[in-house]
Amino acid sequence: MKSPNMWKLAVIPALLFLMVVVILPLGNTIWTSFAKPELGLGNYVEFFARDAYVRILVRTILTALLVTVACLLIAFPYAYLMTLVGARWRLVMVGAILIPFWTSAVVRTFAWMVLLQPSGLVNQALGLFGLGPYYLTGNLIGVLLAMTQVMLPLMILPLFSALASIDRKLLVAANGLGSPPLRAFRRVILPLTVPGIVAGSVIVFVSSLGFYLIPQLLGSPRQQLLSQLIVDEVSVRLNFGIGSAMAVVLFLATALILLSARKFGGSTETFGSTNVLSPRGAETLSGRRPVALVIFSGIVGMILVGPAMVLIPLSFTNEASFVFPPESYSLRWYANFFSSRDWIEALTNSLKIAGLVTVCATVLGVLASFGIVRSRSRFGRWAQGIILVPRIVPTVIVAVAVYAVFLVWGFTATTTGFVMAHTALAVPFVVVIVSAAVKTLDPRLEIAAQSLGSSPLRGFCRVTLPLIWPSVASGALLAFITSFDEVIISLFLQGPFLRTLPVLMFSSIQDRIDPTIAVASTLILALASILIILNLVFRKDGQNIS
Amino acid sequence: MITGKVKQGAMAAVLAAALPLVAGEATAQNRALVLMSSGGVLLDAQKKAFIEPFEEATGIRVVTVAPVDFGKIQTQVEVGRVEIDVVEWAPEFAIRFCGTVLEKITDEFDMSVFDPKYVSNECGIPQATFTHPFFYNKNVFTGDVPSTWADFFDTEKFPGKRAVWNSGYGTNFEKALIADGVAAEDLYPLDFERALAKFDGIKDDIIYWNTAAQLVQLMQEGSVDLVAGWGPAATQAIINGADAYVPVMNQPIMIYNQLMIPTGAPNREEALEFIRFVTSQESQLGHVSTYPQGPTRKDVNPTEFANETLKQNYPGSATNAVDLDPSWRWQHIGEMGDAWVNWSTQ
Repeated sequence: MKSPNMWKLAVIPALLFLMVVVILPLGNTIWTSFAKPELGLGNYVEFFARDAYVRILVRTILTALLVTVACLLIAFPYAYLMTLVGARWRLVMVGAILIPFWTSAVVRTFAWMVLLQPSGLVNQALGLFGLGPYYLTGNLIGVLLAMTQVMLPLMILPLFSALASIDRKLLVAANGLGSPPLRAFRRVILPLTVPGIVAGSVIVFVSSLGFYLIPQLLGSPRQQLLSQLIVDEVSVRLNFGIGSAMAVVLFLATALILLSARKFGGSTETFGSTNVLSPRGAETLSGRRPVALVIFSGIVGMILVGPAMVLIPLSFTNEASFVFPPESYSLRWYANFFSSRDWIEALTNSLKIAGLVTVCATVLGVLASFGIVRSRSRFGRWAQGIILVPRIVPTVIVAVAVYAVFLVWGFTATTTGFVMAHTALAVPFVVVIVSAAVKTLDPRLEIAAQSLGSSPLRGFCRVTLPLIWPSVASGALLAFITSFDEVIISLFLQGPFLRTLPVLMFSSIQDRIDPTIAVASTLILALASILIILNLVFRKDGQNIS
Repeated sequence: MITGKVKQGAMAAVLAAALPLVAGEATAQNRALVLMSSGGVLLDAQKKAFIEPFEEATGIRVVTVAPVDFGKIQTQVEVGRVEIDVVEWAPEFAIRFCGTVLEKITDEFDMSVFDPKYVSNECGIPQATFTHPFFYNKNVFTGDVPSTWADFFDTEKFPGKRAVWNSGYGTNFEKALIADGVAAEDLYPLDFERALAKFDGIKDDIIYWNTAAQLVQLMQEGSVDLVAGWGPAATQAIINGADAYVPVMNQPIMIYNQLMIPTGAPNREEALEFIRFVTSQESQLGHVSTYPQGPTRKDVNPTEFANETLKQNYPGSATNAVDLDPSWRWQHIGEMGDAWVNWSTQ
């Protein structure tokens, strides 16, 4: 496999897989938007002729913009402080980002529901100052708070990676040339962070366009977004045609943002946010740490980690309500979880699907990474673009597209269907992480091994694989959690005999006041923590090797 | 290297642990049927009243899915992969989909036992009746208490937050028109503009709820002053401690559900058996005396209730109840949805 042409072959499995599972269904959705119920532009005419639809489209874009700006303002100081602190504190700050990043969206949304309820902790805190109680859910406040918190990690990571790569000597130089620190910051640091700002803003904006859970569970009709409308059209009102047209409109909005971002120097690669996984790679910059910055970041850290944590004590409540703090404690909801056939089946299904996805996505992703990096061709870059599509397109669009074709293929409500759809979402993560590692490899090492009498395969297994092992492990963990936490596609694919844990949690949240949901959340948090620790352990080894 | 081996070993162990799970998938359920209903507290009550007794009597497992999603059923029928055996839902859908998505099944049953009011098509077997009343907070309204829909919409006489179901397909239009003075028999065709004008008057005082859980949560919190709710879920909330709320059983909207079988249901025989069991005199009597729903059979007249709240909320005790017109409603369901979305998202 010395010739770059041969390496192209390694990309083929992942490429074919994504073509079939994602690109083809997306094509079908575009076709449906023009063809159902009759050929023509009818669905688009109807969409833009309806005030309510246009209003919701505009609102979706404005909300995403609002969330992006809020994230940028909050994330920048935090990311900046990350470059100033020592290794230990940086680890803490990274942990504060990773915990929400690795925790299911259902868990985080549920946590906000509990926090923001009229008798919730937030209103209790406001009550101490003689304020409230306020309605914090069912309006824009709750929706914006939750969305911003959920999106913050996606903004902090690219910002940090941009800030960390700035040569501090530039600041010293600026100071030496008589520039006061603030001006140096504005003239030197800010311009150099632009790629990070663009990357972070784009990923936050695009992800925000596809929000479904948060407005659904925390908002009112006045906050309704396009994703909800799409789900309603497809699943309640049976209008596949106009539902698909809405998906296409949302997709076009996304594409427009991405193309304009490219002009500003953002690249699709930044979507993988490699630095999630090697946060300690960057050099610590020595510098002053203003107290205000530390306090601000402390608050941000609390907002990142705190909400989900309230679910742990809540899971031990003795009441059949979400009253917080609980008046008395018991294990009754744990007993309920572990004796309920529904919950246990859902947990087993989730573990099984995520396990299979981990294997499939890692194999496809590692192969593709070598193919993309080593073929050094246009084909490789093109293939990478295709492979990243599921991460770039809002998930609700992928969900509608996949659902339509899986129905025809008979894959809905089957393990195969879940594994295929989740693998498609997970492969991009593996590719971004592993290809970054492969890029740093010296191919001459393998050649050296071969010249010492090792077969190419043996050389690959003995030399190359151990070198990239930490990245492969990280990719595998991320693939696992991607599947384990996935809820939107799962809501479409679920069947009566096949429900995953997030799906059951989502329906329970809508259905009843049941603290068993807090038990499930606590178990998910525990699992996420284990995976984060594992990940940090792998990365540590990785640094020892290099 | 040693740690590397340990990790490889760990990975292998993970894989090995995953494999039996895969192999175990093939074990099929022997006799089972899938029931799609609105879930929640209704399902809890139904489990006790007839689902568990049915499972014990027949050995057939009842798998439940919620909420009702007719889009899903229609798609399943279209592609020939039906998963749902029994649906419990509003007669509008039975009328709309009878003979296409739903199988004509009334020939299989003795329909003469039911009140003819609830036999509206050839696909739905009447299951239970219930109400959409409103409730007021007795700690807030101590003197003069609201007693009509006109009071519910009157923010001057009865100021405060009002919880309203966020749904165009629900009964919001009917409630507003009754409040505006339309007689129950003149409701249809619904005058959307008139109804929404009535809603404009309370728009800033509305707290929306989307799901039964949100309704129950609002009532447990006690943070709203008036609640237009689903009778059964709200009653269950009162029983579970939201006892500040008092039902107004005057002018409630009366609703009934039917049991239906999708065309091509995989467990059709079990489904028929289930419906027969559920609509028997014994099952209905057990159900309506332990849960705030009313019977559809002529020969069920509960006299004893599990508790006082149930008696207060019993649909049979309502005065000036308002009946819906399912036929008109299914023909205009799209317009109802559009009118509501257009108004509520502004």
